[in-house]
Amino acid sequence: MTPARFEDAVVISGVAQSEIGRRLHRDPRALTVEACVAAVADAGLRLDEIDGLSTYPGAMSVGPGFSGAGVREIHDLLGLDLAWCSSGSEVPGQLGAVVNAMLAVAGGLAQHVLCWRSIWEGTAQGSGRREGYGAGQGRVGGPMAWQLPYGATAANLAGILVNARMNRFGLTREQLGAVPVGNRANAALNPAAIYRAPITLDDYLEARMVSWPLSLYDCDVPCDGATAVVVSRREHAAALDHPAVHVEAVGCAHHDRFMWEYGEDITRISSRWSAAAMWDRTDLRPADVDVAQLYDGFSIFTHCWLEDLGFCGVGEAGAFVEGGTTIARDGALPLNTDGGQLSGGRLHGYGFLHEACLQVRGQAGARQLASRPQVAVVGVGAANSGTTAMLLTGG
Amino acid sequence: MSEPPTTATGDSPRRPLPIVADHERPFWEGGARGELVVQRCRECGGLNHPPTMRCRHDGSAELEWTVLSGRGHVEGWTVNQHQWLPGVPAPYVVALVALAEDPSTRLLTNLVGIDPAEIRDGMEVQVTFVRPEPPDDGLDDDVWLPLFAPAAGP
Repeated sequence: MTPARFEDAVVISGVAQSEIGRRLHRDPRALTVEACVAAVADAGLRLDEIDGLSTYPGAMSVGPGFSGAGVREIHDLLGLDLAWCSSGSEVPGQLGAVVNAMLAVAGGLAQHVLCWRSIWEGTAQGSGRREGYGAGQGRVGGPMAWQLPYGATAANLAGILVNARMNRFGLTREQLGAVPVGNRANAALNPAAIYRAPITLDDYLEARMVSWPLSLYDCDVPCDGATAVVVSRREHAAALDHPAVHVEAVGCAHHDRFMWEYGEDITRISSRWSAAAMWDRTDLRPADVDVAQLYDGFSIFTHCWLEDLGFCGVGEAGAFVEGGTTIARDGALPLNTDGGQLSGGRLHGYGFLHEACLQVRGQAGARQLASRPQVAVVGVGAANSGTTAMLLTGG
Repeated sequence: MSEPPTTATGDSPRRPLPIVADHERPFWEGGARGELVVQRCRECGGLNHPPTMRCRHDGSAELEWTVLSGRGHVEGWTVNQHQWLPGVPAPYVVALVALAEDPSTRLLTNLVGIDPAEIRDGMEVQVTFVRPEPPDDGLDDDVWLPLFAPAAGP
């Protein structure tokens, strides 16, 4: 007997976002509650029907701005009665918290699990409460002990990834600029996006270098905001006042070390493992995908996701995105239709899931694609830190 | 493709220092003798970096320290132009160097003594060590950072 697939037992019943801004100077718990309450209402539920909570990364005392609210805070602020909960950062990318929720619902531990990712890095940095890398630290431990003595940050590791792809695959800066320019064009239609004024390829090419050959527009923008998602038992789909979002397949594999600089291949990121695992769980193929929402914490990550999901060969993403036609709203594979994190703000993975759900439901407002997508792919996570690939279908 | 900047510093006396774990100490302190010391498995001969407690290749607990030639080649690099750390002025080169004895083992490091525009994929490099000024915290760790410079001719 074939074991039941957990994907078949669940739906994404509700999604919502709080106010989003570059620096809102609001209590991050208020942003989180705003998104959570709206997502529960979107799912057609009352708060007292939520019996599970799941979040990434959970309460943290380090890195002010990185976590807006943990499970225990939200449990208390919403007055919930829980059958199950989970939070943490050591999951397969940020969406690991949503996968945990799906497993809990499919396994019968909960009926409706409220998930969120809340962040306030914009305000934290602006107020001086978020220290820079290594500031004030004479010594560093953990993975940073192998990076900071050399002045190495995430942007430098991304710069190495870009440069390696230029040297080995012939990637050009003009090709690398296609995703930032395309995302910005999409952001013009998203009232919640941080940056909405169009940029040209020339603007991209003239931007200041951060870590040559990685420049300013290759980096996502810190912001404040919360995204919430409700995962429910499949039976709840009939009660929704909008199309349900079904989960066709999920992939979370990571057959590698969890340190960016020590991965098996310096031209790849861990999307290579999760994307393959996702396709192993479905009969659908890349040609069936109508829209892609792919992580762009640095623009080069999106290239890796496009390749690893099979939209083009490894090393060919530069040519795939060049000129922007293929990934435009009216292209063969519309990409990051809300502006992604490069223009929409660093909502840390959950913006991609939110946008995929709205597009599949036909409720993306001014940016809704002309033909409502039946199949959406979401790829979240970066570098070698673990990732989640998720294939969603309309009801 | 744009050209990289033509200057980069290698002199950063106030770098952050690692908190040294016991099983990592020989790597960090080998530079005092001018030695690049990396962990090797007695069973399979594979190198392990950063240092570990069981060999990543075969799971063996039989790990030893070996002095390498200090030679390697540039596997990847970038020219950092943003000042992240007060004690590490930009620009500087952050690189991945594959070790000559086992190119599947690499170090994250800085390239020094070279114009960034002259760096090439695969170029041969040789280790050199710096000893950053330690913070005044009472620890007597003697940490030396392995950096790499262009190798002398054949």
